Amino acid sequence: MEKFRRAVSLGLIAAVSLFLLAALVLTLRARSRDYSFYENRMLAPRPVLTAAGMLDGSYFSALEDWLIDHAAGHNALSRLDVRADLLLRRPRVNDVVARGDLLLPWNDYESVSEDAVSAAAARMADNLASVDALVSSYGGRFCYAAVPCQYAYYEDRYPAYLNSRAVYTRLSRASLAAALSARGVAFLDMGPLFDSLGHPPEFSSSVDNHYGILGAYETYRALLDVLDPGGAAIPRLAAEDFTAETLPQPYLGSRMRKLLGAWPAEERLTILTPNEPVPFTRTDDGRPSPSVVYALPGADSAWVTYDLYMGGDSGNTVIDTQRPDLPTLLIYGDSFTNAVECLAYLSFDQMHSLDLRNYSGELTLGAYIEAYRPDYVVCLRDYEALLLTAANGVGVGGTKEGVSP
Amino acid sequence: MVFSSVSFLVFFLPCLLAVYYLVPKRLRTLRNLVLLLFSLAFYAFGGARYLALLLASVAIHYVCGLFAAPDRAATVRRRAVAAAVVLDLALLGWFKYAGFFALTLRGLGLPLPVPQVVLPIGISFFTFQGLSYVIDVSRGDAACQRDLLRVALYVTLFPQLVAGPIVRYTTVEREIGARDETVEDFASGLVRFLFGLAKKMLLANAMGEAADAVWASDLSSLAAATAWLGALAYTFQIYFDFSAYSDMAIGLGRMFGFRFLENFRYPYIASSVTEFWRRWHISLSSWFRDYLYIPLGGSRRGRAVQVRNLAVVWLLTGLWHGAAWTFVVWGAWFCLLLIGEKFVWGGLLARLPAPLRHVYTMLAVVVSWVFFRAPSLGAAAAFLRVMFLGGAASAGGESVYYLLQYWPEWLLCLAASLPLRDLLRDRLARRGTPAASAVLVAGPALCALVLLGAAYVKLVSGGFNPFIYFQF
Repeated sequence: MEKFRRAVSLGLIAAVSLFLLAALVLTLRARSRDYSFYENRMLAPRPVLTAAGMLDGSYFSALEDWLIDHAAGHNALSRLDVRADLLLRRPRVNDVVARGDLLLPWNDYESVSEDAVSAAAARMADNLASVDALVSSYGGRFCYAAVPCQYAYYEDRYPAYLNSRAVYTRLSRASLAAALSARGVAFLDMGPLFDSLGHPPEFSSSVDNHYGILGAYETYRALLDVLDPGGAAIPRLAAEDFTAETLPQPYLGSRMRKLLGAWPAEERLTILTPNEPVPFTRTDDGRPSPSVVYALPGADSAWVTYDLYMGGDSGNTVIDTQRPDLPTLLIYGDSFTNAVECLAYLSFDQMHSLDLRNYSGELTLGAYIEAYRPDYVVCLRDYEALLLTAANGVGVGGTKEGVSP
Repeated sequence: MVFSSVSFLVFFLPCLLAVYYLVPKRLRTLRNLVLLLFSLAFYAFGGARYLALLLASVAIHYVCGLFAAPDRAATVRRRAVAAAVVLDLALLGWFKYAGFFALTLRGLGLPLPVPQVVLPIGISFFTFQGLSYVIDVSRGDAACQRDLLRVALYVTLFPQLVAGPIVRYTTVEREIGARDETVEDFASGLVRFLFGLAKKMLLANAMGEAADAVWASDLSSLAAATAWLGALAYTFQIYFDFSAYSDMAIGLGRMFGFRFLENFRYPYIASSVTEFWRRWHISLSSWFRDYLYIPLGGSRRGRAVQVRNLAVVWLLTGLWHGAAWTFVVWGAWFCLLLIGEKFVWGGLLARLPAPLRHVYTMLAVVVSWVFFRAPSLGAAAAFLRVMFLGGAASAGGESVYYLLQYWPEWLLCLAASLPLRDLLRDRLARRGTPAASAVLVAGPALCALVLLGAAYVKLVSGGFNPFIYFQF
């Protein structure tokens, strides 16, 4: 038994030594990277050795962060950790709630105050009313459109012990609808419309916060109905005017990305191409861009993301179809506008798109509207951002930091 | 630097082991020098500016130790001990308590400036260690060490430097000069270290996440069940965090030929608070017993003096853990319970069925951790109010979430709080068959390897990884 004990001791020491040696060598040999695709974040930079950093310990603390990010097998081991958590059926894995075929976002527990929501809705309505007043002053028409984000679309799929934000969603929609109605601002809520169409899963995504092109198409149609009720001023494209094409690459939604791809990828994204193409020019932030609205992945690409639509978020995009007999449109909002923009330009002479989160120009929202005087202005946001007065929720005097009118 | 870090596990430890074991065993002084230099580097990782403080502590205890030696006159010895006490208290007082006292006096209306002093890592541990050395020398319990390298190594030895356990000089006196590093000791130390690492990475961190999330909640919307789960999560976190550090320290010591004493003996199986403190942070409670409680007279001078002595010890135990009123109340809470058990309800408690005694003890301990964890006395009171008087009834879903999210950890924490490993070991040893003996020998090693893999996955995938006892 003594021989056996010694053999076990030596075996353990050898195994641990080999493990640590391998980790050391592989970490030292690992290629330095700046960005983690799956985690969608910049990796910790290699710290610079300074006397101050040595003295206060910040250098070694930063070095540990860098080592963790660049340790041998960081991605593979992180994915293994995710797989283990999924296998253990934890309700929340990397802020994702896996429910059958759905990957939903984790929502923090919250206490919802009716008064606070009403006050936020009133502030938001004031901002929107200022935009509406400006647009109306030169004869234009404004509409605020709200679309369900993924947690709202699938709120009934959350287990009862998790927060689906159903209470907040209901309160915020009702409060804003009332506040906008009191101020005479047009409001389009796509939730009830999606419900009236049978609440099909195609209007949202199972693995991402955004809707796909079919939900965007319904939003496009509904928006035109609100902006031009008679249908005389804005031409509409019906479903049969498009050819739908489902891309072969799996859709790497933001939730799948949070799970580092450790989830079977089954959802595919679709694009709608007009049967009669409309030629156009495109600029992004003042610079000419290729005349495309879909950023199609290369044949060798393993994934496609929501950036497929309009190539992702851009501060300011202008699509010009050179059809002066048609009206002009300004659509501003968060990334939910992207999929709608892929279709909306087809109905207008010019389509301006603003995302004040990324806009680097000098103009305020009001100044931009004054400068271009679009015939129609649409603010499109999802339920989560419905009452947020920062960035795309500003009034006419607002900058992206969220200064009110 | 912490043990549960890539820098320690993948770089520091292998380098130290390689250099240390390249030095032949007969060159003990050189091996000690290697260990000392790496220990200083280990400390410097947390901020080299406090290295001077650590070296000053070494110098204080070395010099005071020389003058406290039994061959000196009694007056000189007394003065040497007094000097060590005064200097240690001055250092602790400035670095740990100056801000607290200034804030308290300001609260009483005195217009004092509040010094912004950063707490050096491990100051409470290495100060108490050094002080015990000087006192032991003056009492004749330990020989005066005239070799500065050995005193420096004793005070700065990295395994227990920043978070204990508080190792007495008498425990390692012989080993510093002549220890015998063996393959079997190294392997058993390695197993202990890896079990500690896994306890920290797999159990303490998960429970810490749960506890922090509950403590970050808005108390007005917190349900009583959730508050209880938060308190229980912290109860597990602090035990597995601190005992994991002690396991790693004891294991590392063993890998270098030192045998540190145990610091925890399954404290959550205690059936009285008195027993709890015989099982929890043993090195601290025995330090206060031997260097404060007994010198004050202990229980030998009547009930009133004993109560006073207990009060002094527990006030200081509370303050040792942190410069805040929450820690003072935490100490007072245990003082009250210990006095109660000694003089009031101890007899009744002894007659209660074991499960009831255990429930009483755990209730007392869980409440104590609420004071320990709370950022203020007001927050502790509010949290306890939710626990005992009920909170928001509609927020019960959170408690289901915390149970389901951490279900493997709840079960493992419960199992690891019980002496199941000891029971299994005893049963296998009693069986005495070759297969049982083989499991006894190889089982821990295999488990340790699996746990290393699991802990490494958690470590490299990042996330929550603080050590609670670093703040002391």
